[in-house]
Amino acid sequence: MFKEAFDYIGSKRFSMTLLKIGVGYFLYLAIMWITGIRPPGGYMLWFPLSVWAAFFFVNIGISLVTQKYVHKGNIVFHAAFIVVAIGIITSAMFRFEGEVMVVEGESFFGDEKEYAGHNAGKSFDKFSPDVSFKVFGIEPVFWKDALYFTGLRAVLKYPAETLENTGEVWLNDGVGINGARIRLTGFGYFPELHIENNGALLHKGYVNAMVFPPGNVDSMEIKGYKIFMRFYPDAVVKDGKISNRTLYLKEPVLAIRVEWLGNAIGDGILKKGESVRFGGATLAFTGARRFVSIGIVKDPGEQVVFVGFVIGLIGLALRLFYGRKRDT
Amino acid sequence: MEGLEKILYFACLFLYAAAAIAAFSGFLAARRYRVSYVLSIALLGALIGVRWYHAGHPPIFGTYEETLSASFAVTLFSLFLDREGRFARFTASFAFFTLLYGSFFDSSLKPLVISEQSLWVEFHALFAWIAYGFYALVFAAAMGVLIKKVTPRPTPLGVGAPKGGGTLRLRRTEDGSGGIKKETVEAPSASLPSASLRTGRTGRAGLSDWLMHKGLLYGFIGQTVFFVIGAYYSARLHGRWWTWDTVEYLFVASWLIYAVAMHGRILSGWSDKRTAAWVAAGFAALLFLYWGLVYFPHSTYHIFDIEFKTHFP
Repeated sequence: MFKEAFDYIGSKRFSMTLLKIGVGYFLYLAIMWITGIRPPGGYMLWFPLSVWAAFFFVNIGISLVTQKYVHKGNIVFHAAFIVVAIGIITSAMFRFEGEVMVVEGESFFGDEKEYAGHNAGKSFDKFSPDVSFKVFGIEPVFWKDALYFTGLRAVLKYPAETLENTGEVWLNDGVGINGARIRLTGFGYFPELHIENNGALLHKGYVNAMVFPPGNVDSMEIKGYKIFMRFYPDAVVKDGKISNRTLYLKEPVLAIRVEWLGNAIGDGILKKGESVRFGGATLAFTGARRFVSIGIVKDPGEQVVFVGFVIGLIGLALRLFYGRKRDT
Repeated sequence: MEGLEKILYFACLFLYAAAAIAAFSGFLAARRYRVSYVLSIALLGALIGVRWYHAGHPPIFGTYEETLSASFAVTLFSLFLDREGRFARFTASFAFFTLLYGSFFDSSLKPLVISEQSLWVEFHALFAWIAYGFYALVFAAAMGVLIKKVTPRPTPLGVGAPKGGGTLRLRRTEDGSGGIKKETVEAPSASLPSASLRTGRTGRAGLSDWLMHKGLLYGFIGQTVFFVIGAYYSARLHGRWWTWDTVEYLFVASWLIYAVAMHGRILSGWSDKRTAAWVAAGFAALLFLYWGLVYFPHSTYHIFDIEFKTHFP
């Protein structure tokens, strides 16, 4: 019984069945994604894939052990799948991925609270890389002043304590610090506010608000006030209407609306340095700061996967250049 | 598109149209086919060069530029594998309609967005077109098999075939002992690919068989290389080599379809017709993949033809 099952799982017939099932599964995923449908549970995505992949790798493993692949190229190509599988499992167990938002001129020290999000859960201390840096010189480049990035870079100095190393990060490349890859993932502006209530300071400094690109609305709550904001980095205000000229930080304008217990109690269009009063409070728009989102990834399995890919390509090259003894 | 680029574009269109008409009317003999294809490659190569010069990058971004690359790849690999022009009806028409299709899309010059500004992307696209060029040819061969009702191949390709080509025959010995001897029949014409002779078939059927085998292998290798390059670049761009993206699903689906076709031929001794059906399915998946990029950009990171590209939704 066991031998029959072993023989079947390692058989050519089962290889073909698995390939066909794989075709069906990935077509199903593609159609789901195109139509915007997502499985109700994440397990509906990864569980069938895991079962399929497990049989796939076992099938290849048995075929390798029982020496069904005669040609060297085929052996190397199929063995590569095992290396890739080891890499994927390693990634699943040890991969760390986090994102931080850092304002120009400020530092990141690697503390868990500084992360906007990460995948390590309670094992943060175990998996998080030893990374710290300070961000300088954020430079976005837009084409024709449209939301069409043709350039975005930032300079990092690291570690944050000594700033002895310098590196540049882009959206499609970055620097490596202590085994972690650091790259840009986003850009925007944070408005700077000064808020007082009857002489008492409620807030001073930038607000972590997602108001880029222009038109985005975000809000903050402070002492019962809910302040809705829209930000325009290079605005012209005419007859109470705002139009934005470029996406560069030149003539910033902040449009606000304030609610108290769900009722609108004030609004205004503020140029840099201007303020508005609502209730007993005063809100002043003191400027804006550039920030970048930075992705931090440490994945020991990734390199194993790429080693597997390279082995696979070597197998195909052997298959291509050294003919064939017998096709199996 | 203006000036020299426009002239070259219409010259290429005209040349492909003429080649396709000539192929359908039986006027495109092997020599004329080769001449017209060499000329097409030269003109289209010049067009690509002009576009590259003006754009400052290889013409592989956006549908218009992609169609230039696609037509070029198909023409080049046709000349490489199908030297007699037996599939010129398909390849010339394919190149013509592909070029024409591209003209419906924006051909104005735009700077590349950040994600496109990398040599990795250029090599990714280069191998994509190598793969798709071969697969288009394999599709032509498959259609040849499907339409012409070729008889099923009795044994897996190449198994027991004599080394160096030719057909293996078994004959009774002439000494009256009743024994059997092996005899290799040499290729009757040097112009036919030896691999087709291994199957014991000649003419269009043999060529279809040979093209499917060679084209599948080359295309599969090209597709694998372009995936590996894309995965590596994705790790740099997105932080992960696999991004759960529609294009990646369709890529794996098409890759597995071609793997089924190859394994079917090799492992199970599938008939040409059955293999051809899977090859056709693989090509359909590739077209689905490509048009998915163009018409469903919201579901993928691989965005081609929208006015304002951005990394920030």
